[in-house]
Order: sequence, then C-alpha cells, then structure tokens
Amino acid sequence: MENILLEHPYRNNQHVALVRLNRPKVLNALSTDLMQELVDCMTSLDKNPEVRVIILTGNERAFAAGADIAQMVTASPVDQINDNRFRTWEMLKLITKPVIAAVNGFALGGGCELAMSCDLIIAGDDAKFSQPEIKIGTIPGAGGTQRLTRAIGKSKAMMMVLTGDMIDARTAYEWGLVAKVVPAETLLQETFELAKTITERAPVAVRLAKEAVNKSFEMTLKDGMDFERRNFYLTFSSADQKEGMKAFMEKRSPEYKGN
Amino acid sequence: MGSFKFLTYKEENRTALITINRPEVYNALNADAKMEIVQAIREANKSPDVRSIVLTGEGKAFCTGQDLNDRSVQVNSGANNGGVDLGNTLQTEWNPLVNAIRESNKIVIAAVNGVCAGAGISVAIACDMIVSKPGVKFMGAFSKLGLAPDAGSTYIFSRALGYHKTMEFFLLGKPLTAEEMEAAGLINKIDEDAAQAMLLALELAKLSPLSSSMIKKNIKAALDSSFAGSMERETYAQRFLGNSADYKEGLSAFLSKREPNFTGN
Repeated sequence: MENILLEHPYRNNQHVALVRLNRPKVLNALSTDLMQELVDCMTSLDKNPEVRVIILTGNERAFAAGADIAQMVTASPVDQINDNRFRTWEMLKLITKPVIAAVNGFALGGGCELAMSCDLIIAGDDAKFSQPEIKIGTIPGAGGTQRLTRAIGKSKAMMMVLTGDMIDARTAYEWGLVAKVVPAETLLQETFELAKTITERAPVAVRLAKEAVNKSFEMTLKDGMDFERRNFYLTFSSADQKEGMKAFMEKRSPEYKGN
Repeated sequence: MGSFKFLTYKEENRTALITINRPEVYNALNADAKMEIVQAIREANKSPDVRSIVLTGEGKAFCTGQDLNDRSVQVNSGANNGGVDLGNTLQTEWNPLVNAIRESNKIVIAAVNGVCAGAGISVAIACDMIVSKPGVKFMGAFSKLGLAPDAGSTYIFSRALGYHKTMEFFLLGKPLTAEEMEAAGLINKIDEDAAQAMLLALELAKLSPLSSSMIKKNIKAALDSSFAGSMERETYAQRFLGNSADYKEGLSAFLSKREPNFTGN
C-alpha cells in the first residue's frame, strides 16, 4: 500500500484500526489507486475478527481534497465509463463494521463524499467541507447530491452544491453533517474514545444496528421498520444478547465475545 | 523571511514583533497591507523561534481601519461602475485578517500605541491580550460614514459592554478611552511604556505552547457555547494535554520546585 497507512495507534488496541489517507503532497487527492487500496484494506479489516471499529482519517491539513483532477481533465464520458472509478466507491458500502471519519482540514468534493460514505463524521474545529465540482464545470459524482441532501436538507445542500463554497466545522455540526466537533489537536484521541466505546458494545448487534440505520436511507418507513424488527429479532440468536441482558440483571459489566 | 512593504517584522526574545508601518495615513489599511499582516502572522506561527506575537503600529495610530483612498471602496471613482461591494471587502480582506489573529495558535498581543478607529478596533480586540498607552481613543467611526460596525466588533463589544452601551458607542461615535476600555474588560493593561507588551510576551513564551493554544481555543469556544458544551471541550483538551511531554515536564518541575522548560510536545 503506497497511498494509505494502517495503524493501531492507541496503546496497541487491536479492536480499533486507523486507516490514514497518505498522499500529503496532493492533499490526499483520491486517485483510482488510492481508492483501490482503501477498499482492499477496509475489506480485509472487515474480515479481521480482532477489529471492531475502523477510523478513516487524513492529516492535519486535509482529510481529502477531492478526486484526482489530473486524472480527469481530458476524459471523455466513455473514458469515465470504461474507467468505472465509482466501482470502488460502491464497494465501500459493503463494509459491515462501523467506519468513523475523523476529519481535520479540507474535506472537499470526493473528500466530502468519502467522509459522508462513512457511518459518522467527527470533525476537528478547523475542518472545512464543500462540494466544489460546480466551480470546475461538473457536479458531484459519488454521493455529493444525494448523501449531502439527506444529511442537511434540500435548501442547504442546494446552496453548497450550486455555489461550491465551503462550510466550516461548526456549521457542519449545526447542520447535522457531523456528529461532533472537537479541538483539532484532539481529533484522533477523541475519535478513538468514541471508537473504543463502540468496541465495548456487542459486535454482532453493532453490525446489525449499522445495517438498519443505513437501510433507513433506502426504504420506506414501513419497510425500514420491518427490516429493523427482523434485525432486532436476529440479535436474540447471539450469545452476546444473552450475556448483555444477564449482565444488566446482575448489575455487572457484560463481556461480549462477538458471537 | 518574507519581505513586507506596509509593515516591519522582526523576531527577538522568542517574540515576533509586527509593526504596521503606514504612519502617513495613521496606519489605515489597504488590501495589500491587510494581506501582509495575515502573512506575517502565518510566518510567526511557522517560525520555531517564536512563542508569541506582538502587533503594534508605527507613529501616532495603532490602526484606523479601512484606507478610504483605496479605489475598491470608493463609490465615485468610476472604478466600480457607480456601485461598491463593501461586503466583498469584508469577506476577502477584513474577515480573513481578523480570523488570522483569532485562529493563530500562538498568542497575539496588541500593543496599542495610539488611536484605533473603525475596523482598526476590530484588529485590536481580535488579539488575545491588549496593552495600551494611557488616554488612547477607540472610535467606532462607522455611523458617521453612514455605515455599520463590522469585522467582528458587534460581537466583542456587545459581550463586553452590554446592549445599551454598545448601541451608544456605535450610534453616537463618541470614543471610548483606553481607561474606559480597561474598566469594561476589553483591555488588559495600560502603561506608558511600550516595552510592557514585550515583557508580557516574554512571560507567555515560558508557557507550554500546547497549553496556551488550547486555552485560547477553549475560551473562544466558551463564548459561543453552553456550560455543558464548554465542559465537554475542557474534557477533550485535558485528555489531550495530559498525554503531552509538556505536562510531564510541568508536573515534574512543580514537584521538584523548579521552573519548567516546555518544548511544545
């Protein structure tokens, strides 16, 4: 892997994996190679039984400043179709463990879309979000008109997508795009604290819960409720549900095994 | 080090001294002068030899705000086809300047050597600490031009003075003296001796840079936040600082009753 790094930075906690986009010279522009490495890495973490939560981050200056424009300047529609660059993006949706985006600096265009394709976003207070494609004569292509609209509503999404202008972390928080804003220096520490909390919950239930929340974007309320209920019933087939409820009754902390 | 036309920049005693140098126009700022201050603050933040920043003015004034001779703000110059976009002047010049001071990780001290007017007040009060000469006048000159206060001054003044005194200040345009500003909590210290700001900078230079920048960020955030929100940020900051080498050093210095030597790690 040239374009991303995999770390377990926190007191060697193996339940939390940190994936770092690592093309600092180009503000982590999301090249096809980088996206392929990212999907491969995430897929293998999804299979790794030690890992329970994945954090995706960039560096202090940028989460990711967008797609690699250099790869696209002269492209024809047919080039784009043949390149099928969004295939890798589609595969990110298949990750079943929680993925938290930890955003410092710029999350622009594809960078904003990548952050939104994670399950939740924590931002440092210097984070900046935008969908600037309109400024270079195109539009978002990896969810910038869809996920953004669902996250912040039509009017605000329109304003962002039609102007291409940036919003700061505080605004992103107020608009519901990010779950939490923390001082920039503390971003990884605080994201880890959140990740650690999730690792202490029953892993099977965590995956079923993530799946159910994500389904709410795809389904009618009735179908979503039915889906939720089936996943709810399904948790009762896990040993962890038995342990969780038993521990609650016995007023002790549960010990989850992930089955 | 970059070269500047409208200011002087020097580093001494771990302090970057930025002096606005347009005394012939009472340190009014045109677009380039504003951009130079932003650059100087960035330079000071990058310099490993600098721990804090002092911003002052050459001559009789600290800063008298917008240079009204700048063609971009003139209505009748023909340069703007009879219209003028002062909102753009704020968005692209003044607001970035004020934000550069507010977002500077290194503490910025204003050494107010003379009159502050218009957005010059905003530059002074955007600084983290303010030392002023006695008797200096602070003038919100906006209403006399048919304009309204800008560059963050409504935020800072209304919090310090309350609604009615702030209204009086900006509507009637009667200046506040440094002494009145101090009484309202808008100025830290009044002293005839300009070196006072440098002494304060030296004192700040002894602190842990991580600690002082976190203190700055969290106090600023607290002004915009609830009690619960402030406590949350305090928790994040303390967890972070508690893992720093500087805390280790500070604790060990405290326990062995010596002066700490902070490195910013």
